[in-house]
Amino acid sequence: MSFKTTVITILIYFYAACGATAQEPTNYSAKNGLPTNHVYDVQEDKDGVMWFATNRGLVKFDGKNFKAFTIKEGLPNNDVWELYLDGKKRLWVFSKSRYQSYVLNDSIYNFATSDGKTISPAPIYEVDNALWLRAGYYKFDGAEFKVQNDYATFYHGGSQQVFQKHGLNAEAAAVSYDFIFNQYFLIKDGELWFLNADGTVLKK
Amino acid sequence: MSRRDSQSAYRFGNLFILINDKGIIVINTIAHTLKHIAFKDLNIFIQPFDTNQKCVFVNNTYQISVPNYLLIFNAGFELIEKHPFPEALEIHHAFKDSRGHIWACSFKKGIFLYTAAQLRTLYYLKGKK
Repeated sequence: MSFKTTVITILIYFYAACGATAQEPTNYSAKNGLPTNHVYDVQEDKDGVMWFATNRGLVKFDGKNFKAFTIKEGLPNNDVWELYLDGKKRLWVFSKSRYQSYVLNDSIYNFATSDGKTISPAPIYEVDNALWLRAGYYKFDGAEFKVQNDYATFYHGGSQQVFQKHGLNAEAAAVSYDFIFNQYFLIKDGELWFLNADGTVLKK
Repeated sequence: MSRRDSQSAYRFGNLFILINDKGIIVINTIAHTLKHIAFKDLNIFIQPFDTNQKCVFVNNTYQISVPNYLLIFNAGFELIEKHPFPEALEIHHAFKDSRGHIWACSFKKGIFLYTAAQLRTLYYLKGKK
């Protein structure tokens, strides 16, 4: 084998090795530091630190080590489903509980629902610096998650009436309700309807 | 118990975003406009799902994860990045951090980290094929 052939062969092996490495991610699991393999969610905090929601608590990863936060550290529930970094750079930690939490400087701060009900995490809305939880329509007022009764009552009781008024079958259409602005969105046959809470058409 | 609804709704400012296993619907609540993005039009073919979709707004982009994919859209909701994951990893949610690394979560196998350098090499090699 000539010198040139040897060099090319080495380069090909090197190139292949680089390619193989590049395509294989690093796996973090219970085998190398994670408290569990069951990971729901991931979020980066304002300092670039990674956090994971798991069924065995909230897990912080500083690039080298994992640190778990559980009930012992003040979490309301070890089965953490959802993380959210809000506009104020607070890392929220959501679980099925009557308390929801944020973490700041490795301390857990818990906030109750105003009606004492246990809620399941659902998509979080942030509008005009206010944090809302769609599960039951709670708005965080700085001290607690205050239930917005009008919205909840309307959403669960009013939708069928709105649809029937227009001869629409809600099940046949994509529909959602914007409880912040009191609007229904309804998509039927590719057409978008905006309806007021009382069923009047805003725009079709 | 489902972690999320079969159709997840997200709200970022004036945008209301609905995600299901067929695609994404973006509604502007002020302009009263609608944009529908079908997954099949993005060449994404996913198994029907009902629990694992998420949207986050990061660095003026929308990161939407569905099983085995991370999709990144610009502020105008044009697709700017599509990251598929091997089905064997069973990824249900992924997130691209400020350093360009992708963190992918699974319910059975923990976390998978694709570094920015790995991703650059991956797409360079893919482009050379």
